[in-house]
Amino acid sequence: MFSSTLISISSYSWLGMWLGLEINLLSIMPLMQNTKSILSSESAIKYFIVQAIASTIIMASMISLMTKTQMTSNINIQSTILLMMNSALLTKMGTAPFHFWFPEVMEGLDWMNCLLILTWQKIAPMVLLMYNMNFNLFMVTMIVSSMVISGIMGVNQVSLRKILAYSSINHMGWMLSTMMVMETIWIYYFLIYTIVTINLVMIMNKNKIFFLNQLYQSMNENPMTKVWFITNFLSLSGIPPFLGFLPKWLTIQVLVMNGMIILPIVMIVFTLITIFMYMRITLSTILMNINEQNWLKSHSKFNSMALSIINFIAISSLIMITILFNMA
Amino acid sequence: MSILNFYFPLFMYFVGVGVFCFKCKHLLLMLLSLEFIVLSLYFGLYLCMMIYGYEYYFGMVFLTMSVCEGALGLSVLVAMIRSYGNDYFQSFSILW
Repeated sequence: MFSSTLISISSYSWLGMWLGLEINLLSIMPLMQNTKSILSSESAIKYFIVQAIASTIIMASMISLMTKTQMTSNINIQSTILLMMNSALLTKMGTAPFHFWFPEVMEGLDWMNCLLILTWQKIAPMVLLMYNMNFNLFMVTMIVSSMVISGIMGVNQVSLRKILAYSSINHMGWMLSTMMVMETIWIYYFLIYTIVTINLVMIMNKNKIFFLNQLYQSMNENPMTKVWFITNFLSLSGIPPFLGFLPKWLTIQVLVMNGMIILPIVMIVFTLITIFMYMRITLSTILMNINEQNWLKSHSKFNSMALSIINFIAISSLIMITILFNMA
Repeated sequence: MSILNFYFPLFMYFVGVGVFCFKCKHLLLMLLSLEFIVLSLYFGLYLCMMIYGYEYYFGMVFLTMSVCEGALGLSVLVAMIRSYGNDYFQSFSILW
């Protein structure tokens, strides 16, 4: 699975990239199979069908490009066949308006598979998208629809996996907008998003939290877990003292410097809806005063080193990165 | 109409996508249409590679990967039948 993404990224022809995407699909399917629950087999079927048809669309647009331009790596960017290929790549990532499979598939999987779909599976389609990315109406429509759909559909959710799916659609809209101007910011955005998501998923996996009503009572044995959960959630929303603010700041700065002013305005306004969603969750998690039952108090020591280290990185990175940028 | 006219594989492809989207009752039809799409893509790929001369190697690679994908689809179908008992589309109702 790791090598499939590397094959996709490092190949110099669309044929090799398609090969990497296929190997990616082949290698992640066995991870999703879990014979003990029917939810995961339904998720696996939906995921397989969506990714398979997107792969065939990519191949068909590639073959059409080959007949039109007689070359496999030098593409006239203004062609309409690229519309087909971009749509297929966006489907593979789960961007709106091709996002309908994404929350359903996330709902049926356990947290480790969710983490894979949220973070690692997005690298290859995004890098392939960077090869034929330009600032046109199609891309702006995708970005704005991602924002709108993630905001409006995310507010009504109760299941944490679906909430993370819609927040992922939102962040993908931001990432697409960075790809239009400067690709280095995409790397920063993706790295920070991955760190924060890994944090959240590790905490929720440890405590086996899947729904909102499990949140306020299940992290009581160690108060640091609750603080880390809330910090990471607010960091996802992009509020200043947290790490998640940095990539959004960079995005808005670069977009405005290049003259696109209306797009960041629209993106910020619709991200406010997702911020409301996160605030609602974090408020009820941190402020609920539940009297703990005496017989349910677990006396286990908190001994997860990996969680501590990753959370340290997530919380202190904002100050460290700004210091590093000013010193270099 | 010479054989290098590319519209026939493209037509085949879109017919295959149409059958894929008109899902009737069974999931097996969807997988079958996926195989038809792969066949049309193989035809198109073969036509493209005829231009370069002695370059059909990627056709073999493509065929291998697509067959693996088809086998994967079948195994996923078998997993679904083992847990649901059938392969109807109407039985997908848990995840919403």
